[in-house]
Amino acid sequence: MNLPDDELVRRTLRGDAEAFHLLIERHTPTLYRIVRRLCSDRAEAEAITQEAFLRAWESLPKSKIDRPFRPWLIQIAVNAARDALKKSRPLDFADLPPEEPLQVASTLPGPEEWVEKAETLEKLALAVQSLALPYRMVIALRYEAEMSYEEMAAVLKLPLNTVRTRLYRAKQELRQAMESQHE
Amino acid sequence: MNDRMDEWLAHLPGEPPAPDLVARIVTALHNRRRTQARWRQIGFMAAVGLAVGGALVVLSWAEATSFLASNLAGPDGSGLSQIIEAFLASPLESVSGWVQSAISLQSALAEGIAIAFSLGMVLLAVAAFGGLARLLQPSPPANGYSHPMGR
Repeated sequence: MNLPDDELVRRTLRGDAEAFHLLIERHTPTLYRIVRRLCSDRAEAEAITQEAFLRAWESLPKSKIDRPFRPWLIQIAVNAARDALKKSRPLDFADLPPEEPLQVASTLPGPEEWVEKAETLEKLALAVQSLALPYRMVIALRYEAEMSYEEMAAVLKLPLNTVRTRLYRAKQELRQAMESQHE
Repeated sequence: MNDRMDEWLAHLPGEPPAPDLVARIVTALHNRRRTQARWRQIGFMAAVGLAVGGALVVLSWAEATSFLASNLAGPDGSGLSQIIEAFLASPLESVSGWVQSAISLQSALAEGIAIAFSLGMVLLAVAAFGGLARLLQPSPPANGYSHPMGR
């Protein structure tokens, strides 16, 4: 059934359990990828993904679905991940450096010298795992969920500029991590 | 920032979800639905128990209070303070008196006196337990964890 999300949500609200199962089937891969980027443990990522769907199902009748289902679901997943990770790894929530204005151009050399693409991507994935959670969140939302800055700001409930700065800083840290590995 | 970092981040290696993850989520959802339905049922039963029990107690209140007063008060119709004084003075005799009262109460109940009141009290107690159980109902974990196969 290729019904749009909105229609499946309407059917779910009318009591059609199968409609919500279709939503689960449709959004599990993306949701899992986002959550997996936020936590290092596969089982934990699966549990958080599941919890996000359960919370969504419980909140659906109470929520005014005046926005697309996908970002709403991603927001629930991000909150569930935040709750879970806050308990298991409180250090991830240590204060970030103050948000400073963006530098438009980076003075760091580009990553052109890095050799094997696959190897580089593996290293980069590991570097992403070692970022602070708020940075991992923006990376996951931007590159796994392919969200715009505006959508990310809405999901994370942050000002647009903060989202931009976080993404910039995350990439800067990644570049530094890659360079230090390369040296 | 428009260097290759963007391109690489868009192609980061990642593992796909376990093939049975969707099925496990659906199972957990079924379990959650079933649990919620069960709690709704308990809530409904408690409400019915409260209503029926309350009605029975109210309707039989006059009869039951006069019956209890005559059975639980001292043999000469003494009040609570006198009962306590009598108990402190001679505990054994008082207890045996209460046992006699309880036996006569039971026989009176067996004869049908105050059955409505007793039934009402039982229903109220059941309703109270149901309500308490609902209050103490384990809420979904706030930390976002749940077992893959549901609770």
